[in-house]
Amino acid sequence: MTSKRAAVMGLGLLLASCVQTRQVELTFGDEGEGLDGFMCRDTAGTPILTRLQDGAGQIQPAALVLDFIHLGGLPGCRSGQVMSWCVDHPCAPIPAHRACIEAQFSSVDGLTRAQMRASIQQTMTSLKGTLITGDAPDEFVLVRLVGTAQSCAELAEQPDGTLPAFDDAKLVGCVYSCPVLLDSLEGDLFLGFDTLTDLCEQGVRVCAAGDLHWQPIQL
Amino acid sequence: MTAPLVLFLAAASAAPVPPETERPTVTVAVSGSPAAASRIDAALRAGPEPVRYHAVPLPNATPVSPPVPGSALADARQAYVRGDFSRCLASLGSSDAATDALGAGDALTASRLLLWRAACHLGDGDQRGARDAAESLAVLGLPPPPDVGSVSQEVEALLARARASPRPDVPVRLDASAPGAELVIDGRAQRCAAPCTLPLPAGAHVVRVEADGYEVLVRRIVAAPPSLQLRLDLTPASPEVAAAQWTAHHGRGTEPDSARSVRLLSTALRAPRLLLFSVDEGRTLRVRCAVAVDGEVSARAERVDVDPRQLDAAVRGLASDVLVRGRLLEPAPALHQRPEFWIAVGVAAAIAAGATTAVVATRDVHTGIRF
Repeated sequence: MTSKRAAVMGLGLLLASCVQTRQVELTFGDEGEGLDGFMCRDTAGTPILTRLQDGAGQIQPAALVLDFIHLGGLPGCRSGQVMSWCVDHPCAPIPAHRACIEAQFSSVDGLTRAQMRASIQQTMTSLKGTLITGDAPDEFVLVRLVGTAQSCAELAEQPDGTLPAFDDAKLVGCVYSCPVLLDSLEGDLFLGFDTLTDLCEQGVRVCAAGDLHWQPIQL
Repeated sequence: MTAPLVLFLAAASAAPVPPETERPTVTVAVSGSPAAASRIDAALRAGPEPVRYHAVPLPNATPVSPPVPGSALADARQAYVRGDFSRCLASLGSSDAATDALGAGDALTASRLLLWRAACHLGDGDQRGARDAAESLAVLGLPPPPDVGSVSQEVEALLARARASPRPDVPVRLDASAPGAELVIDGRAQRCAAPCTLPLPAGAHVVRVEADGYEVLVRRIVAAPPSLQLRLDLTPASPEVAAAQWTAHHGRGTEPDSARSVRLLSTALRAPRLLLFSVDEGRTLRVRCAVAVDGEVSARAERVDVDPRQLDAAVRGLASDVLVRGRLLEPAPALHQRPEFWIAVGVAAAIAAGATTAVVATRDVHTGIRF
């Protein structure tokens, strides 16, 4: 080994020693209580997760899109507080940090709410250990996981640096975190969805909106 | 931040000094009590100056005078009484003996030597020799010695004739190579400072030239009309002569640090670099200090109302002061002129920058998100 190479390696080790690598796991609660955002029904009472079924009744893979929403500050954690904050703050996903993986859900037709939660939880559990992104933003963000019948390719960052909007009609779920500084987070990151009823498609639209603004339902 | 600067200052104060053998030697002399001299010596040796102090006592020498030929005169007198004039002349020695006596300031001995020389020559039948001796006595203006009563009337008559013989005064201008030299003519009490012109009876005279720092010069001159002009070159004094001159002229003086005193001391003590302290002791002390390089005073300083208990500090302060002003020591450069200062500042800045970075900067954190 030449001295030059040794010096370069030494410098590399020195720089590497200055970088701390952490891992944060997403959780939806031990009982899957954070998965309400994937259990919403539309105004007709149909679970929006059924949007994954094709014409032949087959369940197509869903794209789980992980976004880090830039908040421009630190709002409260409740959904109303977040939406109120985003009225006058530049809330938007950070294009460079969008990540997407595919997930295969099971059919939820005819399942009770508890069964549906268990089915979705099983799907999420099957993804356990899957790395979604290696370097989360170093700022206060809201972490959002959107499920959609669109493909990951459709939703990838565009060459102009923008992100394609979600097709509301293909949304199958959405969960989000409290505003969090991931580099300082201790423990797992809980994702959930605030709703008091399973008729919460409107909330999913708001959740998946680019700027988290109120999205009226197109009846 | 200040730690490197403090370390620098501590290191600077303990900066290595040249080995003892490489330091310049400064001779130290003290005019004062032995106790004061001892304390000054100890204080200087404990001081930080990079010089080697060499304490010496002040000179206490007496001038060496040529032996008075008392026994020779007694022998000559006895020989004269016995009529042994050859032995009489032999006892008196050469004719330079009278010149030597006058040069030593002993006019009486010179007068007796010339008297007996005239008497013995006359007794021996040497009229010319007798006349020359009587002439010398008359020209020099020496009074007849008490011995004149022991010689024959012929000798007395010869002396009287010589004294009565008319001699023109010759203007004699004398100059000396040493500034401020004093001239003594024919052993008289009156002196003149060179250059001086004075009328002397025509004939042989003896001039003695004295100047501090120079050997005494005795010269026999002959004043012949119409005038005489002489320049007398003196040679620098030996340390022994300088010591005797200093003892005679300055040893008990109140201004031992005067320029002439210090110049003589430098020669007497063989000290090219001389540090002279003088301590006037009383309820408080008056301490004076002068430094001389090659005999020339280059700096002086003084402290008055010095508490005797603070003598050591006063001495060290005075020594440091005059050694720097006398250019024996380089003054300490200003802090900003020392390279060590800027090194210390650089180190301090680097440490401060590092500390600031450590406090302000956060480590780069990469957070991975996984299910």
